[in-house]
Amino acid sequence: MINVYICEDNPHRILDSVKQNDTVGLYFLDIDLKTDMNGMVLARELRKLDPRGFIVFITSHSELSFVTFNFKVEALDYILKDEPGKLQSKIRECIFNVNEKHTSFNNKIQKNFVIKIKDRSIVVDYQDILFFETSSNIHKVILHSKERKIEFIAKLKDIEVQLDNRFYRCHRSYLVNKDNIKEIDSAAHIITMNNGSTCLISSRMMKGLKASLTVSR
Amino acid sequence: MIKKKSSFISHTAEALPLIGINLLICVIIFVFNVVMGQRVGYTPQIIIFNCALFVLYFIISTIMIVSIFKAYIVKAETTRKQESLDNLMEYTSQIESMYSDLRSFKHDYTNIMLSMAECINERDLTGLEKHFSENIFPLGKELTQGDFQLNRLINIHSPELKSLVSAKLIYAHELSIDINVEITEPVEIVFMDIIDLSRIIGVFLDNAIEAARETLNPTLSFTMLNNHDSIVMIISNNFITKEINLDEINKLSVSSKGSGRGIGLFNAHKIISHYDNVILDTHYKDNVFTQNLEILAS
Repeated sequence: MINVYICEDNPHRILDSVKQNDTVGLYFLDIDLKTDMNGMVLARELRKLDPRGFIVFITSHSELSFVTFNFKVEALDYILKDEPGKLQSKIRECIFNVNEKHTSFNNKIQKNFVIKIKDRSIVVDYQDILFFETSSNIHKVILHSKERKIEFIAKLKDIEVQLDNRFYRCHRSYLVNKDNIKEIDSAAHIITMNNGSTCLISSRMMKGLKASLTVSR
Repeated sequence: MIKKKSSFISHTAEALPLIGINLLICVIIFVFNVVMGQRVGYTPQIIIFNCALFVLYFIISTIMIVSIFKAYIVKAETTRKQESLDNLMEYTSQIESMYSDLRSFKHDYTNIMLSMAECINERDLTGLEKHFSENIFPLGKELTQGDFQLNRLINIHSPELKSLVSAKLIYAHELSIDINVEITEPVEIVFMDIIDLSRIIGVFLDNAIEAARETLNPTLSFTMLNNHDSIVMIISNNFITKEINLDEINKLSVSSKGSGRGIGLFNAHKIISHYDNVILDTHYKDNVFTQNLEILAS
């Protein structure tokens, strides 16, 4: 069940209403609210109250900055005021999108890894992670997945304890997801992943890896 | 508060291997001279004299190597500054031409208003309608056609970065790439060396342009924003859908454009690794590729 809210002038009423309700909401917000709070600030407040809610901004062509909206509050989409002909189809598109996303979210709760950068969270499912690597800069760790390569400030040993046993610390600088290993070259001490990327394995950890692979397979 | 070794010192340090080899060769000749000299029958004075000559040679050649290196660095810096200046001048002329378009429109506006006022005075609605659709409405389209939001760069407060970005975006626009620029608030680069940042952004934009060009409807998006006290820059482009290995593209001499290229991303990563407070997120979904660079306040 998703509640739909439309706000074009009174932001405080919407906030009060959301505070009382506990369901996920779909919010259509005008960027320019003509009050003390503008659409972006309202969106940020809503995001805090309803982290899984869907936000759609209503804006004009000249004020459109979708990448910025998306980054700051994870906006789902935008609707242009100056294209009234497309209004209906755009709204329909948003509702359809929301429905799809909401049901799929409820259906599969995968184990996932969350990277927090300030107030942003980037979520990667364990099954998509290939490996973690300490970058050439010792303060940063890089998460490798098939479609993403993201740096963040962390230490491998802190990450290791959060994960489950499919992850193996095969090297001082690498933490690998065994499920995504394609092949291991014992002589050269190189692990090749499903997508072709490689990571190193120390001779000390080699035995341990082979043992844990035979157990799980 | 820029966390980086002085680039000047680190560049001169690159001369060290060369000086080391020079020293090694001199020492070898030195030793050779002493050992063989005695055999061949040189007097001790001659051997000492020769050794002194070699030491002198070593000192002179080291001074030469260091001087040449320094001169090279200065030249590279001058070339870079000149490029930056050229970019800024191009940016200025673009802005100037936009301004003159605006001025001539302001001028036409008065005439348009007068002509419409005439029709209204005479209550000539059909005449007004005809005049509007034939003469006035098309003007609006003409005005916005060449416009691609270049003025949004006004929020970048550093001229180095602004000139680089404008040069790349103007180039992209000329290639008929559809450009989206979002810089909704003033952005000040404080926690990173501006030259380093310009180099990295230059590489990302070049790559984005080259990849987008291969598509039927190329698009490129450039965004800068403040996120609390950090700065985020997002560059995305579309590309012909295929598998990309995010590790492969960062390797040296890997380029879809043939051999002898492909240093860009490697260099960009090298620069990023010098900073503890700069993080890069590279990802792609469907057919959109995104580089997201965040400069954290240290």
